[in-house]
Amino acid sequence: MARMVALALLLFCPSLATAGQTAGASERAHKAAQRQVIVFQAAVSSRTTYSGLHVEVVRLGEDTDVELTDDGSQPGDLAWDGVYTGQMVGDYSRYVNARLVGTKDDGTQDVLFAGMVRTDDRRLDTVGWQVMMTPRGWEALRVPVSYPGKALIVVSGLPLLVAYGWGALLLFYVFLLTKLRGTQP
Amino acid sequence: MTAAGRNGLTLAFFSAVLVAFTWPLVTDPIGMHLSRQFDMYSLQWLSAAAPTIDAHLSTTLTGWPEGEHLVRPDSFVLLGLAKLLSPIDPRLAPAVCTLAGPVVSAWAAERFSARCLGARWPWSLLAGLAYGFSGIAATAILEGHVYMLLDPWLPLLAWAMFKTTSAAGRTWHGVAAAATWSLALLTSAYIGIAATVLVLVFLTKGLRHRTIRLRPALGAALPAILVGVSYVALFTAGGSMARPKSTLALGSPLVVMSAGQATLASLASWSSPVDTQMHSMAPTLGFTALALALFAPFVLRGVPGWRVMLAVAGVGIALSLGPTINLYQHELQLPWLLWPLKEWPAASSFFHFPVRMAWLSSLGLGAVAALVASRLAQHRPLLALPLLACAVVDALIGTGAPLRTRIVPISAPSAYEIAPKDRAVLELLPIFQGNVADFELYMNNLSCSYQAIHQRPLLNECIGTTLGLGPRRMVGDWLAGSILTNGPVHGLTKRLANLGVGAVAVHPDLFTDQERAALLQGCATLFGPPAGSSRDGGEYVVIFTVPKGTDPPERWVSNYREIKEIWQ
Repeated sequence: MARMVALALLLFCPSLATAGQTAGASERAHKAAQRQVIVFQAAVSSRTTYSGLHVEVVRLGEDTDVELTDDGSQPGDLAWDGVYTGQMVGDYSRYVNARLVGTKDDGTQDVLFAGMVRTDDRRLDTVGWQVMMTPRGWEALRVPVSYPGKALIVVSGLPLLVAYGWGALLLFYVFLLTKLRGTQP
Repeated sequence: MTAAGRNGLTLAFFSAVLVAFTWPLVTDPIGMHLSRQFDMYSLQWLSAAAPTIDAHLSTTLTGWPEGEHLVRPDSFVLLGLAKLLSPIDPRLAPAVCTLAGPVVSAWAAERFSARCLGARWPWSLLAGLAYGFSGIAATAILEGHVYMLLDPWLPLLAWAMFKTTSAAGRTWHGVAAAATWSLALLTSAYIGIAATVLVLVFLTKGLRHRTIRLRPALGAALPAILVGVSYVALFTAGGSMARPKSTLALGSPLVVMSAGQATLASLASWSSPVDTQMHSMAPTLGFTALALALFAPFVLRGVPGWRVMLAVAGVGIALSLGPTINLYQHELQLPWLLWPLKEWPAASSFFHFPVRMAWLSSLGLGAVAALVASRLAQHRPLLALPLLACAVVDALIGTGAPLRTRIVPISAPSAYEIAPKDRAVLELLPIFQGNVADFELYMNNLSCSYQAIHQRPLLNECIGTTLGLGPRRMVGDWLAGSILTNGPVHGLTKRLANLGVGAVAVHPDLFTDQERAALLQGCATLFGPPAGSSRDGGEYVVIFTVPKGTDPPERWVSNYREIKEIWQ
């Protein structure tokens, strides 16, 4: 049930969900130390053969490896949902140089993404990827927040549906007001 | 309730909405900004540099050693505001626009709906909410073009045109129309275009009803022509009449414009990809205003004045959709009103963001909605009261403003303090190509904004979106290219010194592992060990100081021009 609620929250509002995902221990720790939390997420298709993912990060001149896991050990992570998560906490950094690396069962590694990523927010920033097959092979494409499977498509459309629902509700409300006014002497 | 009391409550109400709309900016207006894109950084630079800009609209603080001409700044109003605020702190200007702008704009729209259309308080607040706290206002914050928020000119222009094109129009109404149109133009070229469209809609109405009289028309036309011609003259004197191709301006005019047009989805709602992939373009209309306006023909039968504002809204929506109608991004591609612009690529290269015509739709829909709500509430005010709450939901959730903004510190790496104050800093940045080309613009603008704090001259050009031009790119490519391809070349240091360059700022994290090591080693060979480095202000920056050159400062510009000729 908790998983369903969490997933619904993820689907409904990515920003709220992102905030919610780390609103636990890491957020409290951040508040205490006034440090920036950067959350890395990568949604991996079940068709891939990657047994592990990690991000090689250059942040404020320091090289760091961030292991991404999908066992629920990270704050806010849903275990075994296909979204690998990891995070790093440190001094404020406007950007990081990041390389998402996938490790196959045979130990070979693929660089799925390499490039600059903006992390402007001084409190918390989420760096999301969707690992997918492209004509060039497996690549990780940047997304605001990573979602399991094809949920990203739903996420993109859901705010629009909610907005149209809100619009329909308002039209009905104004229609009622119009009718009530019409019956006045 | 007295008029003063109503106005006080109105301002208090809009101020309360503003605090939520821009949260938490009010807690630290100088120490942070809320923008997600990169345009805010050049605004920060512009406002900080405003006191140094001379009568010829140029500054020596950037574009070193020749200086940079600013005849095409984003906003003359912002420039003027920054100059006005310079005795306190010119860097306050963007924060003033963000914190005062929506309230002033909303108040102007509220007064317009009450004075001209007859909307009654508190329903007239709907007009202010729909305009000052609209989706396009949220887009302005997220993009960083916050000077557009300080736009009471469109509602005031609507009021002036309302009077000017009526049978009771007077000359001073026309002059007021010209003044507000001019201020709109000086706020932003896009707002100026929106104001021109608004004028055309009112003129059409006036001609149709034959209510336009000569004196008010002349009172409007003559000053407006004077200002308009001066503006165009300044613009044409300021450079090429076709925007040079930049990393943001690749492809045909329609392709370029598609990045800045509204879509059917973005008029209704926002989603996270809008901020990461679509430059935060979500001019959501606000369903409360839209629903009320849709019922206007039934509720306002026989009521004069509102149709012209509904027309303004309709034209605004139609124009904001740009050259093609699209569903979410590029799905439908149905040719639309601005489609013929593809025949004029030079002119349309200056019109990349038709979405900004949505200021008109916010104004028009809000004004009509306020009048409809006033009528609906005449008999059952309590039943209509939730409309105000719904409009607040539209402003805060519908636009997503408080959920989408970021808290970005306004700070600079302390390493810059090591650089000599009397000579320039060369920012050494890599060239970003392909779909990450925007990152170079971000880094260029970010390093411009640092100048507001460290006060050293820069080789960067800080206005405009054309990359690949300017001293920073030229000298930086020359230095980095020399180091990375041939290793440090003898004489490079002397050449840099004789351009008046006092320090080279390397941003190592931006480079690949191999380039990073080679650049730092190369710079150390040329300039000696780093004079210092810092990891504060959000970046790792290494500063190498360049020894003073042999040429006097008078030679720096000619030295630069010699190199420029060789390069070109």
